[in-house]
Amino acid sequence: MADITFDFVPVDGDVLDADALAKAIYQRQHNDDTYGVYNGSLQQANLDAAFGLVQPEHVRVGTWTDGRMSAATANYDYRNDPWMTAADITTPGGETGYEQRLVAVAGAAHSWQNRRTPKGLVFWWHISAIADTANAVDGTNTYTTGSATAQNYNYRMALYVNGQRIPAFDYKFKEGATTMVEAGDPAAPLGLMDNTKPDQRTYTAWLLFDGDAYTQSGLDAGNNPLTRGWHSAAICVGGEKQVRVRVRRFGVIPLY
Amino acid sequence: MALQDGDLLDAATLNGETGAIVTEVNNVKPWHLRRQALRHEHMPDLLPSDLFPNGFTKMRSAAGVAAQSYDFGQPGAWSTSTVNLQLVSTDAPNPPYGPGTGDGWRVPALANVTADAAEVVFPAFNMDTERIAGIYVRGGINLEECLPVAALTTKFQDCVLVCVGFTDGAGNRHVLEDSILPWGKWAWCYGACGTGYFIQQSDLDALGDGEIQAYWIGVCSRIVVNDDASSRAFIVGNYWVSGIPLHAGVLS
Repeated sequence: MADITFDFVPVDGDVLDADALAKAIYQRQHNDDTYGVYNGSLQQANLDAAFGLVQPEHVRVGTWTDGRMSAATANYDYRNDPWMTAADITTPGGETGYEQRLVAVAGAAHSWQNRRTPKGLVFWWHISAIADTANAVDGTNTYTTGSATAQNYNYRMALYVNGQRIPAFDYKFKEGATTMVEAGDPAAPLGLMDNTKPDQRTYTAWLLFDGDAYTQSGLDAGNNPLTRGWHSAAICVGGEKQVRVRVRRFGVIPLY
Repeated sequence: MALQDGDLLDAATLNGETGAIVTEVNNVKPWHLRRQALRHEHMPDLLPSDLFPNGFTKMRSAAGVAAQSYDFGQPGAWSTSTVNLQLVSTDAPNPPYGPGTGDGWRVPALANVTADAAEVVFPAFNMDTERIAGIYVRGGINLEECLPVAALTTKFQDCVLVCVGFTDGAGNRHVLEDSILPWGKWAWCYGACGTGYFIQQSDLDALGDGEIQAYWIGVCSRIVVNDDASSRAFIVGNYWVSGIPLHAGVLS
């Protein structure tokens, strides 16, 4: 607390102690706060108890927050072929674990700099996507259901911070009801690419990522985003079928 | 100090001058400041960590990967006045945490463990007293399966419900009904089902005792057509809840 005191407080009749007076005035030796105050580093405790309303013009820009966001609208296809072939999306861990194969979505990723150690970070995102289904070439597919022990899903979207997946935000999604594969008929090449069915999924969330959330997240110490410097975070996607990402955005707000 | 030659130098004068300096430094007034003089060191914490000693966010434990089956239904009829949206499950095991049977809201919790629940707990407080304008709460689940048993054509209205709730100072749970979102099972199975709400003091006064000591999300299912118990079940994977307390009004 920057609450300085003045310890040379004589009463009438005392013999003036010049050394003590000079020391109290010129050679403050109380604590670090005192030196800080003398050097202009006033703190919250120095504000008058009746300071009243802090007006925006009192506060330096960037004092509390420094937010930014990425976004994109163009459809973007993430094909399973390059990185998910012969892999399943159920098994994490190791070099072949799916979490090594999900890729950051352009427009749903961001790098930012913490100019000092933040008290917390607000991550928020919204991403919409649809995954291909290849089990009904006539476009009349119905959803395939699974069971509690044999679930049926074919793509994931997960929050990654500094390149590491946070398991609690690793979500599974079901494929669409209509294939996105082009029809073989040259006269109607888009016949099967039906984007009108209600099989688009969205993933919308935000969270306040503070020290406690970091502990829960399972992130390695080296990936802790609550430190000074540059960090990155993204929604990563991957599936056993082609995944078409649509509107997406991703933002981060450091709270100092 | 402003002592001049010829001033009486006694203890009172000396203490008055030095005390004035200390008073000025320790009691900075607005008119002492130039524009944009205040930085983070001078301001109250944006995050009132003292009010939330357990943090602001709760997510499913990083350990373990098993999804869990929830098997229960929304009490009453969804489309009639008999519906009781405030009913929080009291059925075993460990209500209302984790999977259970019967009616009412359950708070997602891995293996019914209270400590793993989608719930942020803190010492009870009154928002007006603590100068908190509100807590913006958002949470959600990853719906991993809906386990229907009937034909698709009868299931288009079946849904999983997600809500935001709070626990008042007396320990009673209250559902913020405006936060309730139904998510169609068939359209959203394997999806992100979430909701949010800005909890204000007026909510605490209207539903509870004026204090708050926890915020959480609740889930339940509702079968509109062919209300058979076997179709109530659904599978929850990951889940989370997070809140941002917002200062507003006077900062001092």
